[in-house]
Amino acid sequence: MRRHFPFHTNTFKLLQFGRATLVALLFTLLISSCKDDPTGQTSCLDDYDVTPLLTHYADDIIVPGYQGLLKSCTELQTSLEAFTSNPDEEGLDMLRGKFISSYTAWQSVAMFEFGPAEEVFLRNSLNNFPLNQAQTVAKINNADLDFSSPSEYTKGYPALDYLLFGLDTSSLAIVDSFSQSSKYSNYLAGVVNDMLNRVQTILTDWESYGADFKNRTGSAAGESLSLLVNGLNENYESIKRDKLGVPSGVLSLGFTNPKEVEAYYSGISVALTKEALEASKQVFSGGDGIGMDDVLNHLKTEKDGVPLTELINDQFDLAIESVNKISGALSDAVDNDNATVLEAYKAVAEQVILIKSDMPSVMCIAITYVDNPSDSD
Amino acid sequence: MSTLWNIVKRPRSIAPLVTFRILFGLVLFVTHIRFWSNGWIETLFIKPSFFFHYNGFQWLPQVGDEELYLIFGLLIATSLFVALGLFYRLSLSIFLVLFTYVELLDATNYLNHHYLVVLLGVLLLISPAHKAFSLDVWRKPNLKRSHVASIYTFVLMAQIGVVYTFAGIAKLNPDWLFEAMPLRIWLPEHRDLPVIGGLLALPITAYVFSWFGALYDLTIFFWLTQRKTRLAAYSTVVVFHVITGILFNIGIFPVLMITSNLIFFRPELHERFYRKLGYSFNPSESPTQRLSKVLRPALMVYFTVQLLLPLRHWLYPGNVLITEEGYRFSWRVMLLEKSGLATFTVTDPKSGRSSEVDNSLYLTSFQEKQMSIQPDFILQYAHFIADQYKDRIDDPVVTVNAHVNLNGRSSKRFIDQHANLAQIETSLHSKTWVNTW
Repeated sequence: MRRHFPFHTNTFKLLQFGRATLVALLFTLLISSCKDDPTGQTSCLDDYDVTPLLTHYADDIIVPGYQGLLKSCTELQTSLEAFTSNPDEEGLDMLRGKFISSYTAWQSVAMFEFGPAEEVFLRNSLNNFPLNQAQTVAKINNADLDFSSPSEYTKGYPALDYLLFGLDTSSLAIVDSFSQSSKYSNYLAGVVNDMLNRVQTILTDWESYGADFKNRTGSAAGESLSLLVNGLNENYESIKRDKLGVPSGVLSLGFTNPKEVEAYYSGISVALTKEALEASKQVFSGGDGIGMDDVLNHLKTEKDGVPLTELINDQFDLAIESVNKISGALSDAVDNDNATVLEAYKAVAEQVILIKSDMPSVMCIAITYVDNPSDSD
Repeated sequence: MSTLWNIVKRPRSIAPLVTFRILFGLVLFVTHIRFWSNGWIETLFIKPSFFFHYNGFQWLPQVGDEELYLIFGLLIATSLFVALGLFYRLSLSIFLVLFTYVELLDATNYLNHHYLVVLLGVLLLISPAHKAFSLDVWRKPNLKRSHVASIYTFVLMAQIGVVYTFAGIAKLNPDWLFEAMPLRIWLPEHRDLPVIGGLLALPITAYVFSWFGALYDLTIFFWLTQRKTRLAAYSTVVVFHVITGILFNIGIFPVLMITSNLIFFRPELHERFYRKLGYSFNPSESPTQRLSKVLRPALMVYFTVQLLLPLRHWLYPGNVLITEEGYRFSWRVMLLEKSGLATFTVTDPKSGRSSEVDNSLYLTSFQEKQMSIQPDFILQYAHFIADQYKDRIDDPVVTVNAHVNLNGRSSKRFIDQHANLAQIETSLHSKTWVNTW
């Protein structure tokens, strides 16, 4: 028996009628959906070649940045040895100077936490703040020089900040502490040594990683441009939240947390924040060479009629300017003149939507801080 | 209509149903093993501290970590039992209840193809797909049938048709057709692939994929139902789903469709396959069966819902891609590359003190990503935040600064930044606090 499957002649007619209706319906849907067109240009990197950009970032920004950091750490170690062998105020001043320049150098590479830097947990190892003072003191007293755990708040710049500025109330008293017990010198040397080793490892790794980095020209998550944009954003959000937001009480109903500033003991938080913002701006613009701004200009990206590059640059300038207005130590400012700090926070925060959402969106690069944990559809 | 009903009551070989049952079971068996071994039970269900509910399922109880692993163990076992046809109805019922439960746990995990699994599972549950080539028949030979009512096969086909056709209709939007979005974002991500990589980076490729994809979805059901075109159509199904499976992160969907679509092939082809395995379908074992009286009205209700649900977004103003009102359960797949940023502020109306909320305290980054682009999740989360502050603040005011980027556009504010979300009730009414662009 021959079976007509699955439709009977009657049903076939029904189907033909159905098809005509369907076509009409689809047409209506198409026409009417046009009215909802959310206007705005769409653009994508498409076949734009990012190789020159990646080469510039790797060779002229990232690697020199780590070289600068390594140099500053080496100098830190040298003056540390000079100071601890014969502690005096002059040596301490010298050492403090080296500490400040190294902490400053760190700000300009903090956004490259991928590849080699991610492998050695550089950000957590160098700048976990605020310092856990009690645990640090305990480690000093126990001569515990294990700095391997990335989740500890007892090492890196915050530990140096404490040892060089917070150990006692006056410089003289701090020098005395170092003279009386070698435990401080040992801890100091251990911290700096750990920092040096990590930065050295990164520079060595970049020798081979660099070629890979320049070759990964795609737009998917994990490709180099995506790493740069993600890194910039991740660090920028940490500037916003950790350097300004938490101390000024933005996240705690306006109750301030002066002790949670970066560099609490030396009181150089504002300068470091400004440096971090300027470094972010440099990474966005690629310094003197080709940068993310050139990509956005190539795409002719505009937002509400203004070029996106202009919006981002203006916002960086406004943020830096507002941070500049904070006078004295940040830990004092949040209690004496928090309005200025909040103003700065606001200027910094308004940038996030531009660089975290708009920029990757128009470049059509995938933005993911973590791997997608499941499927999508 | 009653002629149609008479057609679908006719006996038809059980073989295609048997194939469907076995492959459906096996696909889900593998799916859940994969889910477990990828560590997704941990990342999706154990790590989060807050879960997003579906409307009406706020009461759903949470289970402990060990019970969760037990549930996945049962899902693996019962899906295998379904494939083997062992305690078929019981196994499939347990599977469906547990699978649905897991799906309901956190709405940010919503996937259209998981919804499809539930629907196909329900349609399979009413069918006697275990009455041949199964361990149940081996246990109770009296169960064996060579023919069952055609309706059981046809409803599965119809369900597949609904999925494809509505997926096709959803693609008829300006972004998809005229901007080739979001494929123009997704395809170049594979520019590093050998040979075809360079091709995928070209904008024209995205247009070809978009238009072909829409045409495929709109018409493939028709070509599969026609005897003349069936083989070509099925080959297209295989090629299409293999390619999309390679290019996009869409999990089991391609495999599910490739296996499910075998049901369109003539019963003789299925029977021939089982005969080669030494299994025969003997017609004499098939006394006529009566269909349950509730079957007809139940199926009419079911398919009416299936036809109306994907169209419900017409009840809402604004673009469904932005508001996502009527977005889920509507076969809108692959339509969006959406990212957003939602910063919440809690304010004490008495003291005027306010606080920004650090989303990472409560949400995983995956949840945060989903939340920031979907208004109903934003509202749920705002209510949760209000609860968190209740002991410190009377009637906390919760507002959000939310922007989204849609398909490569620059961002736009999409939630009224003055709206006190804590006071807005969850409902299916149009969300007036969502800006329509």
